[in-house]
Amino acid sequence: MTDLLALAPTFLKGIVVIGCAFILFVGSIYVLLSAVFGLRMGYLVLAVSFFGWMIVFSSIWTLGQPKILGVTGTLRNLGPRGTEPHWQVFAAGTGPLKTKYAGTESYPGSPWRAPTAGNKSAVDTAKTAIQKYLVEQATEQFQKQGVKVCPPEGLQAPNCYTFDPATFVVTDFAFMPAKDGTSLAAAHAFFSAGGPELTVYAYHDTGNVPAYSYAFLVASIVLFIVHVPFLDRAERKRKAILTGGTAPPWYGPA
Amino acid sequence: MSLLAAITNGSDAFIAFTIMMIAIFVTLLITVSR
Repeated sequence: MTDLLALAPTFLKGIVVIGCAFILFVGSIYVLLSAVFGLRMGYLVLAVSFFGWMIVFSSIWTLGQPKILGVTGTLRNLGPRGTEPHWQVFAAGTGPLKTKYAGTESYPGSPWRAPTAGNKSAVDTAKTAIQKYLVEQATEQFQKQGVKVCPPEGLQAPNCYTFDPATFVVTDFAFMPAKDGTSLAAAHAFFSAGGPELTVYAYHDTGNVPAYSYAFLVASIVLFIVHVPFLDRAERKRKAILTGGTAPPWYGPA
Repeated sequence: MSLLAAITNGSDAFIAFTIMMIAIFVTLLITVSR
């Protein structure tokens, strides 16, 4: 919740800026279109063009642009990204714990395995996740005791405690695959200024990076399909006005 | 907030620009409708 509140000023401003972008870039085109086609058809022309363009744009996010004549195209998922793959702490205690994943209580024994050259990079990412988790827990406990805690970034206020994640030492990493294929990591962690040694367990969340790309693509296709028949009808009507009936009376130059 | 360098951020400048554009457009509409 505090994280959300900390994000709020930028988040609100982000929404306002998106609104402004729509007013300027889409609204100005709508003003021109409605001057030529009228309010209703102007909107339909704008909507069909906009969602058609969004289909092109979001398919580049979703599928990437392929290599053309040996020139490397755009990579996939360069648009809005969903949850990144990450390590998620799911249990922590002063000793080995029994969790929803079978075998966690036997850490550091079998089936846990020490990190190999293959998963050396996983140690670093899991370590960062565990340190972040411990900082959050320590901050929560300090706040319950009435101690003011400031985030490590930004200006340091007086009478305010700051946790550097690096003050939490995380060692003895071990990994094991769970029955459902999830990678599990466990480690011993302690606060370098003193305190009990904790056993922390984390699972690897594979994330869902293309979620928003697909969402934009599907929404664009649906909204495009919804608008096209209305535009078709409006154009037929307009054509009837343009080609049918009699010409307006000519009263000479104005 | 001092008036000198009141806007130091791109997003603030963009919001201010949009407000200015809307103000110009509304002025135009009022002028035209008279």
